[in-house]
Order: sequence, then C-alpha cells, then structure tokens
Amino acid sequence: MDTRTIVIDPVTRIEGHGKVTLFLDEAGQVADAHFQVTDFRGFEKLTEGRPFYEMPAITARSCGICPVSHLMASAKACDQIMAVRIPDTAVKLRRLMNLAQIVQSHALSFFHLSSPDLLLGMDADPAQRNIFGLMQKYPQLARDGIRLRQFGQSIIEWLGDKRVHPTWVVPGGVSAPLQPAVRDRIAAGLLEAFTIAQRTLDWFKNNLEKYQEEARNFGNFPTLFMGLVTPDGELEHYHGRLRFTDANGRVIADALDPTRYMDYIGEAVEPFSYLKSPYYKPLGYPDGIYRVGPLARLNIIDRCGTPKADQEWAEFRAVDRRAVLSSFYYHYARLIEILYALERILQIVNDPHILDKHVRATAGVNALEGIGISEAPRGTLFHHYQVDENGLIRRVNMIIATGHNNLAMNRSVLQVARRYVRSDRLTEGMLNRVEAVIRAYDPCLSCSTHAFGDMPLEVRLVGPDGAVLDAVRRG
Amino acid sequence: MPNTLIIGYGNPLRCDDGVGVRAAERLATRDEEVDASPSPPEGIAVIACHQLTIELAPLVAAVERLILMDACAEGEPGTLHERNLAPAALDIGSLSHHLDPRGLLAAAQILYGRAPAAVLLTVSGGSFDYGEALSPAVAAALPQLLARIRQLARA
Repeated sequence: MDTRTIVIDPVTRIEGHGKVTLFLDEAGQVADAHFQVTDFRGFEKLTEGRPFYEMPAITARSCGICPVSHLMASAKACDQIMAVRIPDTAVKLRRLMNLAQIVQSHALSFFHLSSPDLLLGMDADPAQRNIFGLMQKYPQLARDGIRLRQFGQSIIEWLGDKRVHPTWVVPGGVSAPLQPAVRDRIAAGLLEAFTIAQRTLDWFKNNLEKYQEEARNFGNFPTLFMGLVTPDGELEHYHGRLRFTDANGRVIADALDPTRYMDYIGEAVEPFSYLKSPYYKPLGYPDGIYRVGPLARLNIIDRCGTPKADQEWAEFRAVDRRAVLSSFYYHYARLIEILYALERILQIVNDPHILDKHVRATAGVNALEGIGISEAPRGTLFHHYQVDENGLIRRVNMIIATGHNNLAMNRSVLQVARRYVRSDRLTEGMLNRVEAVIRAYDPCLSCSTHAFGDMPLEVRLVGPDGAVLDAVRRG
Repeated sequence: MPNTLIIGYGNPLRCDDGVGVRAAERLATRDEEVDASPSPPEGIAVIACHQLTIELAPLVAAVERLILMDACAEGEPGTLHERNLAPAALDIGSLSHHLDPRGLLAAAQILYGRAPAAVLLTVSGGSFDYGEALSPAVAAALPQLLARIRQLARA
C-alpha cells in the first residue's frame, strides 16, 4: 500500500516523552495512528533481588509526579507479603496522603497543562498557547491552580516530611502518627481549597458549550471502563473491589478480587511502543479496550459518597444518557474528583481517632506473593511482587494507569487525526488537537521513561520512499 | 518574612547536576567539616529542589532578592559563572511542569505584580552521569560558590 507517514515527536506538556506517527493512505487520508512511548526504564527488572521492604522507596522513583501513588500500591503489596492487617488509623492516614496526591496531580493537569488549550484556543499560536499566555489572560485562574496544587503538595510534605519522595508510607502502615499541628494546618487550608475547586467547576460548566466540537471528536467512542469501587458502589481510590462497566453504563463485572487481576486483564505488546496494551480478557485483544482514571471512575460508580461531589456527579452523568464516552470529559471528571478529595480530607482530619499513635504493624515474610492496588490520579495501579523465603524480590509486574489507557489513547489520536488532518501538510491547529487529546488522559510516561533532556517538538512527514515531505519544529 | 530567597536546584542523582542542591543543603544545614560559616542568618530563606516549578512564584514575588544556583554544561569543570536575570516568559515546552529561571521571574511578575532582583550562579559540570558524588573539580569549587552566595546575601 502506498502510505505516507507524519511523525509528531515529542508530544509536549505531558509527563515524559511520547511520539505520534500518523499513516496516510494514497488519498492523503489518515489510515492509522500510533501513540508511541519510545523510552524504557525497566523498574520491573532492576528491582529483582532487592528486599521487598525497599520496594515502596524504589518504585516511587518511577516518577516525580506520582510517587505517592506508587508508594500506596507498593506498600499494600508489601502488607500482603507480611500478611498483616494494618492499623485502622494507618489506613486513614495513607488515604489522606493519597487524596492530597489526587488534588495536586489533578490541579497540575487541569490548570497548568491543559487549561492553555481550553482557554486560549486550539488554533492559537503555540508561542502564546502555554502557561505564560494563560497567566497573562487569566491570572486568577493561574493563581488558583498554584494555590490548589500547593495545598495538595503541602499535605504530602507535612505528612511525609518531603514533597516529592516521602518515605512515610511503609510496609505495615505509616512510619509516624499525625501531629495535631499538621492536622490543624490541613483543616485551616481547606476552606480556600473548596472555594477554588467550586469556582473552577462552575467556570468549566458555564463554558462547556464552547467545547462541543472537542467533546464530539476527542476520544469519543464506546469502550469499557474500569476502576475500584467501595462495597456500596461509591468512589474509591485506596482499596475496594474492581468493577468493569460497558459503554451503556451497565456493570459487566463486579466485586472482582484485585489480586486475581491476571484472570481478567491481559497485556498485549506492540512492537512500536514500550508501553504495554492491557485489555479485558473476556472480550479479547483489542476488543477488550477499556479506560481508567477520572472519567472511568465517575462512569463506574453508583454515587461518589460525599454531598458536594454527588451533586456535581449527577450533573456530569447527565452529559450522556449512558456512560460519558468522550475523553474530553476527563477534564470535567478531574475537577469533580478534586472536590470529592477535599470532602474526604475534611472527614479524615475530623476523625476522632486520627491522632492515634498506633500506626504501624510489623512482621517478617509470611507470604511469597503480594499484590497491591490503588487508584492513582490517572487510574488503577497494580504492583505485583513475588519474593523468596528471605523476602528478596524474584519477580515484579507493575501495570500503570497510563498503560491501561494505551489502546484508548491510540484510538483517540486516530479519531482526532481523521477529523483534522486533511493533506500532507501539517497545520498548527491539527498538531495542537492531536497533542490536546493525549493531554486529556494526562498520561504519565515518566512512569515508564526517563524523560531526560529537552527535545524540541519535531513533526515530520515522510513519504513511502523515506523522504521527508514536510517538517515542523518547535521549542 | 525573608528578604532574600536562595534556591539551589538540579538532580543530585546526576553527579555535578546536583551542585546547586548540595550548596543549598550546606547553606540550610551548617556543615562544619566543609565550611565553618554559620547557617543562613535571619531574613534569608533557602530552598533545595530538583526543578524550578510554578509554585515557587509566590515565594519569589515576596522577596527583595533572589539567588539561584545551578550547574551548567558549558565551560571548564568547576568554573563559577554569575549573571543577573530579568523576567522573560520563556515556555520550556517539552516538560512544562518546570520553568526556566527567567520564566519563574516572569510568573512572579505576571501573577503577583513583582519580580525581585535576581542573580544566577552556575558551576560548570564535568560529569552528568548517574551518581551522587560531585566530580573533583566541582567539589573543589563548592566552597567558592558558598562564599560568593554569602557575599551576595550580605550585600
């Protein structure tokens, strides 16, 4: 077949590096699209032989944005190897840090990475369509983003003594109880955080009409959705059971034991990317495509479980008669999850037992396998460890949130490219939209890449003979 | 409220790239073996971090003077460079959760109405390989960097 290739390399304003390749057919129409992760980190391999209790600290280094998420899943896998039930207060404190992580990560994604696309327009010059353009035009929104992210990060820092790689979450619980002064500082910051979250949600909803074009074309197709829910079907980020729903919003599998994930999740490997492509096994590959993360979580639940978030969730679900299918609405879902996280943080700091001193259980190796699962900001995160009788790691499998969404991201890029690429020349508006749909997923490629150095954005159009027909360079 | 903010940034797991962080740590926690001078006096705040992020903007806007410390790839290893900085809205592009130093000043200016006088001190690195140790030339330049920072902070 006579095909031509457009490469967008790398995609900007995502965590890590990615590359997009668009395959044109003879008529100049987009025939296929690959979203590629071309870097390799190999955490699963390099941790072999390490003592299991080092795993939270090591695997948290996968990423500078979501180390807390890796800490949660890793510590939970270690709890299983120790076969301990961790103290109730330790569970609440881990939840507190996980919720703070959701707040800071979602704030970064919405305010700093994606809002330039939303507020300055997809056709704006990239020299303006960035964080500085946003600051100039919408300083209040930029300040709100800074304050909200700061609040989430401060909670993590106060609890863990460090902002980026805290060592407070440990196998068996947490290493130190909550100090009254820290609890009071968190409580004192909540009012402003609520005000910002609600103000931003109101603004977003008031402007939704402007984005109907994006909502129709940004990853708008039927898939399954997966995530954790509580036993009552409420929103859950730390524990619970897995649920799959379909594009009609119907529950197709419920109360799945997360530790048996291999029974229902397969992992396909594509030669063009280091990122694996997980799928729902009963439907096979690639029909078992599913999405995770904020959009998925709000699609699978029966309700959030907190008053303000439930009110917003009811409006959100009214966007579509069945499941909310467009990945554009990841942004909307993120804002609702921020509100939810703040409500849960308020509940936790008001818990009468939250200052209890017993926050850690101790034990040696009591099981040779542990599987930890949690909801990271970007979706469901699995850490699966096998150890020998001395507790040394024999085998590790990590399924990261961005990996679950790999198939959907590829399909989303294809949908956007088919809609906006019309010739063998690349336009800014087209490139911006391809990048923006990837950013809607807030992919964290750092979790599987090293992201070192600053590569400029290079876009190439390559003919069937390998000759470069068109090239765009940014940065 | 401090009137001078000192920020050392870089990746301490990439050898000399961490010289700014090492210097900030020394300034914040007095290390008598390396340097007998007292830890930062009143009115001076010290931050060690991997990258300059936008959350630093309100802190930067609140001080009279900003002193930044980083490594650079150009020059003979261990050479100290110094230059004054003015705000400039430079988008870094590929990883926009961090900022160029002039971008940090611009963020302070745009969002909080003021940017302090700022100076960037860099040390030419010899090795940016994986590792936590500074190369001999950069380790030897560290006392000179600390002395210059103290001089600037006292001025």
